[in-house]
Amino acid sequence: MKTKYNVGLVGVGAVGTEMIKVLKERAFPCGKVQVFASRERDEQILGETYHVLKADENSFAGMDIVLFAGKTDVAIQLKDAVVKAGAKMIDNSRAFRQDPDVPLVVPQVNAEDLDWNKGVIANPNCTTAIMLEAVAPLHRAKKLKRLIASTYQAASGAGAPGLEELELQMKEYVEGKPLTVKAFQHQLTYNLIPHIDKFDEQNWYTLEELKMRNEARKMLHHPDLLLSCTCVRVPIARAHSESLNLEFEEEITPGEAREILQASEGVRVVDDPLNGGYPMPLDATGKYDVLAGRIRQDISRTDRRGLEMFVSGDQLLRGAALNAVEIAEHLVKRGLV
Amino acid sequence: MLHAPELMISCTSVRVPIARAHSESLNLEFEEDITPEEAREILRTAEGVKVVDDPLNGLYPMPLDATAKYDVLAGRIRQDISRNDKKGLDMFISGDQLLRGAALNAVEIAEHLVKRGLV
Repeated sequence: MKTKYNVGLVGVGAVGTEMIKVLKERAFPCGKVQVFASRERDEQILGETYHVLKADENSFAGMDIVLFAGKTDVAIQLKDAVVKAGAKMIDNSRAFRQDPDVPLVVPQVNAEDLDWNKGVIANPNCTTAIMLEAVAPLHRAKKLKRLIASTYQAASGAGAPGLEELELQMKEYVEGKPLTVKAFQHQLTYNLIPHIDKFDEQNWYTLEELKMRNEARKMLHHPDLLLSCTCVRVPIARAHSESLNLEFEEEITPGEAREILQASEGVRVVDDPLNGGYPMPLDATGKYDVLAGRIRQDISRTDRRGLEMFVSGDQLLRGAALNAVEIAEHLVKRGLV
Repeated sequence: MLHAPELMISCTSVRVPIARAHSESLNLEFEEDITPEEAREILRTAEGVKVVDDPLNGLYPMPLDATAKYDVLAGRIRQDISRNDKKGLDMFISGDQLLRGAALNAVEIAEHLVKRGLV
């Protein structure tokens, strides 16, 4: 068994930069690290100079793991080259998430799906990853039947340009200037935008909302899961929050739910409302764990099969970089690389 | 207010960093079948609410657009895909909480007291 793994990274936007940070923070046993982007250049990343190469079909010889933090079309274009080189591709784009030959993995939810990988593993959408970190343990115990979600998604969920636009708009607002609107469909400062990704013209959900359902079904191995969702962009910098209404096949009390989540990895119960303790995006920012709280019995039901819960999680970490690096760690642990 | 003492409601209320107007994501279950088209038609003929539901042209309720407006904006109206029947709808609304939620509503109550000869 190897002790060091050569790692490639394609893309150095918000997610790619975060991946380098997480590889270092978690001391992943990297051998050579090679960064790829759309053109060759020297680039300062977190205080270190990397010689960035333009990736092509011959770039991946000798690599063990290639993390993709770039666009969907780049992932599609380079997939065969990575697999042919014998490396494992961990892709953060939506390219292969619904491919039946590609496991879609959050390690705390379904690490076992890594065992049937054929060279490509997909990272789920950030809102799905954050939701499932808190929901999967409850599903394992009580079997989830139906879920209604409303999301509060941060500007940086749209990448570095999203965050830059929010910060620029706030500055322009204070200075009394007209606000620049480019990254989002509308002004985000002092506003909410119930529009993330394109609209499905059959059912008028957004693709972001449909991803929640389709990815949750695949990762929970629960093709009949009923899920409806409204995704909303909110004027905050980082970390997504979600208000979740959960219906289970079996009875579940808030006390049981807290106990189950307290014993689960990847999620931290923050549920002491009298002392102001509940999940908030500011507190989830930069944290590995998804925060779960406001856990209560759903009073709109006459039985005990419903729960309400509010969660916050760092979408660049759990929803992207941390998740990808954890997948790499689990590939190593399971002897799959 | 709806004279429906058995109505089942659950809600999570969250403060967001915006200046004015509240928004709400609503998941609705009815006793009878209802389609998004029916819902839009009903709301278009109702007073106090304006349908803003042309998502391909970026039209949906947003607090900035509801600010200082009398009407509550309703949009993103769609059949709830988490049900196997047609009894569910999802909807997003924005409304000015200082107007409909307070001042306008109070003055309208006064107007109706006058109109009904109750004052």
